[in-house]
Amino acid sequence: MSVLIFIDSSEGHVKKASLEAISYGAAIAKQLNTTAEGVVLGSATDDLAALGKYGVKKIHQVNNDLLDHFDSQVYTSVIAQVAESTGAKVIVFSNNVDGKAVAPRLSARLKAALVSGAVALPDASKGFVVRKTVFSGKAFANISLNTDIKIIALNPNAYKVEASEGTA
Amino acid sequence: MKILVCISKTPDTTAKIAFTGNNTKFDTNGVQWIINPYDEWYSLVRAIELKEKDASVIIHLITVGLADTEPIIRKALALGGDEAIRVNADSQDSFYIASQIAEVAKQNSYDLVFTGKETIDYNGSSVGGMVAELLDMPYVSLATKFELSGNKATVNREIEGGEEACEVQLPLVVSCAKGVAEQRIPNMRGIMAARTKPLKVVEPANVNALTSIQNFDLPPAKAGVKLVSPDNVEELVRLLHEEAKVI
Repeated sequence: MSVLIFIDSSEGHVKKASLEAISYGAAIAKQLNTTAEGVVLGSATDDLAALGKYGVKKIHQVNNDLLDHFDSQVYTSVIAQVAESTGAKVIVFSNNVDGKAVAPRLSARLKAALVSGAVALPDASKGFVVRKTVFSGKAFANISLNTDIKIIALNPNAYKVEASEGTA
Repeated sequence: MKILVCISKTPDTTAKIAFTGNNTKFDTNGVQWIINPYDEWYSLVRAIELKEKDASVIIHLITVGLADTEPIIRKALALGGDEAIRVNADSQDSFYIASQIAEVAKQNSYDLVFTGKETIDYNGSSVGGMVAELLDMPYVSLATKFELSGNKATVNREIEGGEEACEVQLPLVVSCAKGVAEQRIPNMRGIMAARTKPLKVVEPANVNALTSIQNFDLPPAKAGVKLVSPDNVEELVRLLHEEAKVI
């Protein structure tokens, strides 16, 4: 059981929103007393091992020419396979343009509860409750995720990037 | 060519946001309901434009909701569309709604399914992707332009810092954002015609929601403005340093 984080990249570079998602996923892994792992699809020119400083312990890179161009159907299929092979129980996305396309597909495929637009770490004291913005930011809702596998899409700029020492 | 347009009922953008039942339910007292703007302005209008170019296009509208959603779906029919389907269920979560839409879509073999990019109440941005997965169709999210040529669509979608154009074979699910079409107002002829257009009510498929709302809360009220006299610079510096913490 691990926390799997989708590390979104563009032209080989990891997006800033993914660093937030990694820090957030690593914090959830700490809450759940497990490890955070990342999945990168397609080629990457950035040093992926260096992402360890944000808290991810292992990176699964799936390298295939088909993955260098974004396709939500293909990405969903590959991430689902990685999630299954790692036994991930929590899957974290950034709620950016790609996350908005893939996270719902993955939720439907895995029959896994999804909260999109999360703004805080889950509250595990009452099950697994995640806070998100609703009514276009005029209110918050605390959503309970009621399935074994849970998917969270974190709003960009909602969680601070936390860097320390370490490599993946 | 058959197009399915997903329609949601949402509170008006100026509605007061308040909650009842120990903050577990949205307070609907005095709320004016509208068609979700992204569903109306962009996905429905674009579907109507496609029909205006090609009269053989058939547009079906679908909503998941109880009888109180009928004025909304009738209003959508006044804009355009040939018939509407209401799945007779209270919407529970995105997966529940998407599953109901997918069940109907499977029985009608649509070439295109349009959704708005999100609803303005729960801001999930999830139903389109879920429907696409349940129907095993390609999905383009946050579309800003949509053109059709035969069985191939050219779609521009938002990406960070710009747009990306992609070509996709039908059948296809698209979530529509600003740019896909321009808002229209229903005319009298459309309003009269909508009264007699078919509105089919179907019972929901047996699907369980995957999430539940524990409660809502409002952000803290903004602090009032503090006025500082122009000759009291020391106080201004103190407030900026100790309270606003910006210097």
